Amino acid sequence: MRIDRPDAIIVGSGAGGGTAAHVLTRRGWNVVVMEKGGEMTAEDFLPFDELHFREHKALIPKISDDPQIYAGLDGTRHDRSERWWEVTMLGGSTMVWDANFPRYTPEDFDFNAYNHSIPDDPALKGVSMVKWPWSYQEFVPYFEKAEWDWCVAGDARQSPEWMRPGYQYPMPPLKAHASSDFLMQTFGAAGLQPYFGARAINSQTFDARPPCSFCGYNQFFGCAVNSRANAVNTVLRRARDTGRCDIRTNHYVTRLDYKDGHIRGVFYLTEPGGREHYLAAPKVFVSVQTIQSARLFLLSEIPDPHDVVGHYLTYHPKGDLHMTFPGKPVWDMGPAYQPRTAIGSLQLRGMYTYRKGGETFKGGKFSVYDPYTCTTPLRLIKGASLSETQRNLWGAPLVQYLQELRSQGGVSFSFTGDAISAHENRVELDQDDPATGYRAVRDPWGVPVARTFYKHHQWDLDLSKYALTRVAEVMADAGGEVRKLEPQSSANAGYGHVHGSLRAGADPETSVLDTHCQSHTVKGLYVLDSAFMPTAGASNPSITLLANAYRVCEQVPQGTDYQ
Amino acid sequence: MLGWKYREPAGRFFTPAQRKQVEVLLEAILPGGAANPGATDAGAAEYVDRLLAMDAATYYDIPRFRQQYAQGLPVLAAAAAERFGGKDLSALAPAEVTALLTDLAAGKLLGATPQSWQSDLFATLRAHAIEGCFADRRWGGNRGNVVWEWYGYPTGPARDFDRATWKGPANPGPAQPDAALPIVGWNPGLSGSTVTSVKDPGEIQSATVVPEIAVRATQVIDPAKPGQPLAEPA
Repeated sequence: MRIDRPDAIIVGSGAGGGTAAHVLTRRGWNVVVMEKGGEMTAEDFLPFDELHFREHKALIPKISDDPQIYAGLDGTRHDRSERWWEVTMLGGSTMVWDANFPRYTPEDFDFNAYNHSIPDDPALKGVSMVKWPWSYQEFVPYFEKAEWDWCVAGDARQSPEWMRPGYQYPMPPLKAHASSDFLMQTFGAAGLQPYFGARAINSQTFDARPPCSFCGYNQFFGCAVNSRANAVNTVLRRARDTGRCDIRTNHYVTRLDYKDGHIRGVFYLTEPGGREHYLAAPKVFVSVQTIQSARLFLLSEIPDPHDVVGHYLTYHPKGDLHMTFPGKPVWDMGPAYQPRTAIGSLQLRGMYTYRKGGETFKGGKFSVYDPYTCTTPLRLIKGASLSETQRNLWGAPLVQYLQELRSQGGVSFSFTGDAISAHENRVELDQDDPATGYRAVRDPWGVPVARTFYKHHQWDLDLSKYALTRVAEVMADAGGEVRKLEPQSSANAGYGHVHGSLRAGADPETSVLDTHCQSHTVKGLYVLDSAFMPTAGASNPSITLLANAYRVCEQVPQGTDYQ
Repeated sequence: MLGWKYREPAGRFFTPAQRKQVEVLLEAILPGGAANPGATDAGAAEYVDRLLAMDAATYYDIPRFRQQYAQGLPVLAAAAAERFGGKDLSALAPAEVTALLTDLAAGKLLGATPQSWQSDLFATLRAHAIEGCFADRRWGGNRGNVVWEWYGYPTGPARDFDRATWKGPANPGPAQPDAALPIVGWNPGLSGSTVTSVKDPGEIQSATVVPEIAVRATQVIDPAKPGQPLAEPA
């Protein structure tokens, strides 16, 4: 389907871009989707091979020739950093995501309602926590649309996320992991709100795709049977079927073209060293990942009179906790539960907000896994530790660790917490430095790569440590021993959920995008990835990103009738 | 788009002598015991031997691995000889290899090479020992599925391992590479991403004497900071 004069160009074909293609074509628009990568199908994710796909990082840009640069804690370094969650192919990162779909809830829309003052961190200036300019209630209908289009399995009735009374997900939850009964009981008694989280993974045949086979290759792997939802097997498939969607793979948009404050089109390359091409359209929707979208704004020199573009970048503070239970056998794998190649799905929400010293604070959530059955062995064993100080195990301690894994029950926790936004945390373009002779790194197409400046605020670090310690205490009371307790550290070279680099807001002096996620300075230019998020929130951002894309694309006027 | 398929390389990387040294190092990192299989049982050295004979298209870090082994094995062998009365690295007792690797991991071996170079080499050895045991068999390690069966992966349950009654892996493959396979050595005269195929193993041993390491070995060590040279070579 060739479209030469589209109503809109969509840059990126992942969560945001795919959704835009679906919603806009359903409204009768003709759209061109430009995707930098090629197309891969389910068969391309075979054979199941952890070494090839994960250790050799076959699905992400190569750090050797297409890295991101991290400026380090002092802001002077040029460290090459891995782009773990950027997938350059049709469908983008939805092709490898964990498909964890917790919604951002009212707490995430107004951080300041909980933390009345943020302690000063002398190492990080320019803190700015803002209320989102929308309410959770405004998002509810879009959450529901996204959950049905993206085929979510779960049980809304037991979810502590706020659900409309009577609402239900399209599919029942996935089978429980064998550790779930024990963990539900233990954490329920401790008031930590365990529940089965929503996943965009089929629990039964649905939308012409099969149920999950529990192959064990989930996060960071492609789904070889299409039971996990991605942009290609959901929204892009529908967009294609309309005949109004022209999907162009290996089309790398390198610059946005605008004049007199209006978008006009995009410049793009189709191969390294090739010549630049141009396509015109009255509307452009950008959704190529938080850091990359900011990079595209910088490359295009989108007017930025108040120095906001690229700033207020946030990474969720993470944290890892592994426990083992002496005397408890590995989880009994009855047929009613997930098999040994499991994916988990238990969540803990009891610390989403928490009270301490008479005050209520914003916190975060945990995804709960069993390291032995939910994590592929190379990843797990390379990260092996027996205590906070005994890490990078080898020799006899490594054998001891392996013996423990194969013979007694374990639980691992992955923390996702809210983050402090600061002007200093930002995306820039990598630049030559004549003083040191440093030459900017360019990607294989010759375009300067992004350089990030990032320090976690002391608040992030304290939260991560506090939350991990609290869960470790509950597990210790139930007979567990700590094997790993790794809270967030100040430096973040590029691992985790990212948001905020093109913040949306009502005030053009403090935001890049307006409340419709349209550029304040270039009309007709929209951003749909997590760059729009005014603050980080404290859940996996996918479903909230999707809901926002539905919200924006259902309301955007056609043609050049700008809002 | 990728259409990935494992292809066994046409040659191997190590000379027979180097291969024995690698075996001893990997076994110390993941040692087999009376009740568990280890790196030697799994054929982890075969895994590394094959991996290094592949090119950067398989994994961009392979050229760096090659350089690390080519430079690192002579350094480790020299350290072994110096510390254990002229013994060859491949003839060391397990406790001796463990002592050597403990110093390498801490960057204290010989004291002459930069600390980060030593800890990086150790990290590579550790990663390769784990990969040689726990990666899919198609890569040449985890011989006869011996480690996965013991560990209980992917479908389990974990089976006990008893060395006294173990008859070796069910489908062992060659314990040593076929002597007829060409040996792909590291040639320091070429850039890290290029290799030459050499027929005569003797030729490779001479090629692995790396001038850069020889320079570092003659550096003066600050007695206050053992393990760290006074200055990095330019």
